Amino acid sequence: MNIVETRNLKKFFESKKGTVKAVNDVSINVIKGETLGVVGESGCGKTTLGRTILKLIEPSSGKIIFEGKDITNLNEKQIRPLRKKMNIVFQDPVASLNPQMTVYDHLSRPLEIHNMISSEEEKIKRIIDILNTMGLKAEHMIRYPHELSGGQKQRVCIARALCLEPEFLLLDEPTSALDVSVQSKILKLLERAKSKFKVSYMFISHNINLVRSISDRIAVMYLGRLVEVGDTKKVFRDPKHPYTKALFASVPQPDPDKKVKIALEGDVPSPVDPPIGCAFAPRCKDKVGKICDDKMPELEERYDRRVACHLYD
Amino acid sequence: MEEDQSYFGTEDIDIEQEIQDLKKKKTSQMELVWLRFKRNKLALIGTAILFLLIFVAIFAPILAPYDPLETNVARRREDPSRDHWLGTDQLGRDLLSRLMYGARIALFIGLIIVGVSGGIGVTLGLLAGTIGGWVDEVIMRVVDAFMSFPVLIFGIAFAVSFGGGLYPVIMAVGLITWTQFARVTRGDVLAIKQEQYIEGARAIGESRFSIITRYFLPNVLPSIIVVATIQMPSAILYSAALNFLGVGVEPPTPSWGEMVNAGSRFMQFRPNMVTVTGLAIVVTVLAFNFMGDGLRDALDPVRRGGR
Repeated sequence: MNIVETRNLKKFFESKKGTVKAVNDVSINVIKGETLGVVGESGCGKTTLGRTILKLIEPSSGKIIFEGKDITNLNEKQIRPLRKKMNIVFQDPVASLNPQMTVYDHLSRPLEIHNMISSEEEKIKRIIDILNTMGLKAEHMIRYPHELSGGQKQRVCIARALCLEPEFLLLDEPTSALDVSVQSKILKLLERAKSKFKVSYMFISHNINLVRSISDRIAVMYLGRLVEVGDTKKVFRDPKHPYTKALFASVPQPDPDKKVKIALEGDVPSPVDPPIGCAFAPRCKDKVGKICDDKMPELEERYDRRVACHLYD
Repeated sequence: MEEDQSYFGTEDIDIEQEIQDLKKKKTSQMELVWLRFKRNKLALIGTAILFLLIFVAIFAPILAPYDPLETNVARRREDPSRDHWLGTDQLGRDLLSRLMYGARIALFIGLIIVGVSGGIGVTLGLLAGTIGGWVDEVIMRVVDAFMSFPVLIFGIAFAVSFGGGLYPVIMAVGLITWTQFARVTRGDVLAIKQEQYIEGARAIGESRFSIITRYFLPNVLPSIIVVATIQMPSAILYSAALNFLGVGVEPPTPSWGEMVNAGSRFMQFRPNMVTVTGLAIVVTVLAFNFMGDGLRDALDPVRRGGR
């Protein structure tokens, strides 16, 4: 069963240079209880996709379905009750906290808004509880964001997202601003929440190794489109799309004798003026022929996954 | 199992104990502001001067050596002496006493004007910034229009058409000086709008109203305080200027503007009246500026541009 699903979702931005097609015709689903990893280069539309799914920005067209309900056209007020069930952790913890609110304020607001608590005492107990689980102490409640370290701030952000016990959590590179030891702690906590409460994650990252270790399925994005979606193990064992292959090949290996291969050459084409055919065609090493430049490959079921490439026509 | 009822529910917490501990550790918000504020020496001096001024204004009837309205034709335009520390004016009234009573009017006028203009300006600025679109356009064009009015001309016209006196002047200056509040508030709101914590607030389901009051307002407050402390002295100056030109506080009520006006007529041979009153205005204005500077730095926990 899907917790979240998008159908032909598009998000275009108008800019001076033209229309930026940040998310272009993306149909993706997150199954209840799973972790879906979304990878791709910077600027490929991962973050925009995430924000559009949560309706933090309005989609240009397409549909967003949450728990079987079409939420595409809900306005800000109508969607408010649903905010309890879905939440987001941003990449930059420094920017995600209100500098004029204490940690206590940050954690008590969601509880107040969604009437999760009946008494002041219960609220404080709950907040202390959450802070302890996140490796923070009760005394951090009275701290302002600027009095916390980066790792502590991100833990507050995750605590804020988890304190509503959501069904779906969008993690937009939540650990990229943290050091490795804090990273692993946070990933463990996320794992625990997942196994206990069947919370589903959409994990956006450009850290391929990280995504590999925590995702059940993986979706690869290129220039606003999905190019490959499938089971993490299978995709890693045998990537089908030339872009996926190149992306995985460029991950540094923990072996000093192995040289890092430069698998990707050239630049990502402009999202304002994407190629008519396959978006990856100008950089692709396995082009089958003219069709790659002329016709956009559809994301189709191939083997055990979905791939958008003419190689498998 | 109890454990399965929440994500967390790790261990039992002695809530009473925790709260007790917190109370011990917590330095209250005001204490923190004060700790930061007192590092700024100029701000402390400014605040001290203002307290002195307020003290004098409140206790003018006790402190003043003479009745500020009592004339003495025999002792007009005197230089400072033992009887009259700052001298006397053209009607033989004691200057020091008039200066003390004048502080009442000056502070009162400053406060009310800043209250009126701040209320209008901040509200309109918040609306313009958060709603945007045509609302923003309309409000900002109104601001432009108001800014192009010369304050004194508008003040005179407004005050005269409402019968002169103190309150029409206050209203006139308040109604025309709100633009700075509106512009600064809107500018800050537009910058804060781009911050991720606003998106974060929407993500947890905050209503539009809460976002304005809990996220925008506290973050524009430091700038508003700065504007207020700049506007306060200029409000005092404007009302003094209007006084000088003959609208506002009616004689013989002592007001600084009227005193400068009267003193300027015999400035060449008896400069004490103009100088002393002018100095009082300058010192008050500076004291407000210093205090405002310190307050802004102390109130802003991030201390943008603070020392």
